[in-house]
Amino acid sequence: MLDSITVAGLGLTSVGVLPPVSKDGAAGAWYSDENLTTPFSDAYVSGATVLYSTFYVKPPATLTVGTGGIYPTVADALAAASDGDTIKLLSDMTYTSGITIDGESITFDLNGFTLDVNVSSGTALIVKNGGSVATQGTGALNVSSGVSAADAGSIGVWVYGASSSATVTSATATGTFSKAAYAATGGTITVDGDTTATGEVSFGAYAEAMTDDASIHVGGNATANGTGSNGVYANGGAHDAQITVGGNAAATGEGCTGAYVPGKGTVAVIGNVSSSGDQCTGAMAVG
Amino acid sequence: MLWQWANVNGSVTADGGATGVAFVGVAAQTSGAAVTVDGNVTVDGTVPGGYDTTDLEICGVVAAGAGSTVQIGGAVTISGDYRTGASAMEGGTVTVDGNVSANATGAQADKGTAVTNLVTIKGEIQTTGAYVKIGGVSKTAADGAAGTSADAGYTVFTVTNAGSTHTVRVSASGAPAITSANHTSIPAKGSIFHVTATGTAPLTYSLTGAPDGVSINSSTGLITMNAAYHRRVPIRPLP
Repeated sequence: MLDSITVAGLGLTSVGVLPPVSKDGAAGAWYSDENLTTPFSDAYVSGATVLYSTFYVKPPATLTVGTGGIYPTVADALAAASDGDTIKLLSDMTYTSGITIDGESITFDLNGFTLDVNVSSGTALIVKNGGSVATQGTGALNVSSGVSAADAGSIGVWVYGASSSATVTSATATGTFSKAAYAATGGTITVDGDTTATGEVSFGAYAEAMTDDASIHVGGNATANGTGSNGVYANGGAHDAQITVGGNAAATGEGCTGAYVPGKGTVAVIGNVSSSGDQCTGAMAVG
Repeated sequence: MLWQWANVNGSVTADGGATGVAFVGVAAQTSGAAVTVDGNVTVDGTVPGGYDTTDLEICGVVAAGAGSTVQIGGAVTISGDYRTGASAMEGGTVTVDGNVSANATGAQADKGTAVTNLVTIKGEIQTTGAYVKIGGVSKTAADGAAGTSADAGYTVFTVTNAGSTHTVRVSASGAPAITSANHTSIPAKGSIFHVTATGTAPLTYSLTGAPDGVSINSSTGLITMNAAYHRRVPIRPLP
């Protein structure tokens, strides 16, 4: 039995010193068949004989990313993470490719830092099929999509599918029909701070419950700016669309509505509701 | 559970701006829809072009549809021309705890077949136009009748048309009135004399001619007495 082995593998500069291992790999959980998922075909064993041409190493449950971390980029950390893992920030970071979490649970340990997920169009953060994104620690996880009116359909955070959920610090979307926070068919979104949407027929928070319940909680303000915009919009079909706002719900622009419940749904605003613009409406519940 | 429901703990503002229009402050439309606002509703702007200025739906607050309800905890203030403060139609119910101020019509109840439309204003109506309209007919404040039973304390305007009942009821004078019973005996130690009253919120309670040691909580109406001054005295609470 070796005292230790050091593995340098694909995409990693080092994963540290591994526990003792025997030829059949039975000595450590790192090498048990059910836990070892990531192959390193060019691994080597320091000061000893290579036991296998291919090593399997399970990443640690907490994946550090940023300055001094195991993973230099968010993309690296996301690629290595599996269900139940925590990605811990070691510095402020910006990610511009968008994130999709499909059926897995990922926690971002903000660790006093900020992760800005900014995409120029499309959706900054998608969580679906029972997946979840949670945050812990101080710091911020901000999601933003779109930069101009031409970025139609931009979404800050979009959660759908039964038992899917996401928590972010703020959500922003820019573009026609943009939605800062969009929960649909079983999705639940928590925005600790503000949601802001800008563009024609944009939505600060949009809950849509056609085939399953959907809910959004905004701890700060929900705001939409643009013709036909809605600060909050809860639209259910046979199910409940629920939105709660801890701050204010506001909309500006012609035909805008501060708080709108067009179908089966509920909206609760702790603060004020306001609308400003030609033919605007403050709060409306209508089927 | 209601199908459509919105609750606002604060206020609702719809501001059409100096040259723009505001459509409606708060609306609960279609059956079962409900909106509650704990604070005030403010609407500023003229009626949108192309709309009938007498349309019940172009107003400050409206409940339209069987079982639809609008509950306003504060006041409804409309700044703009040709607009109604509070409307109930097609089976709607509107309750405003504070005052309703509107240029065109204070409150109105109309429309629907075999339905009950009810607007209750616990404060005052302030308008330069029609005080209320029921079934499409304008009424002055003097046209109302003193309410009885469940309508006690209100001036009631009601009419039945085509099987529907359209009612607007307004706090009789807008002035506060004490509703708690008089106490003419010496209360036992530890007893509570809590003055209650109706009127436009928020009410402020005060005492006139109160002897030393007797005071009233200005917010709650609770009267307390220091035991050192315990004796029979006349007390007249004024809300």
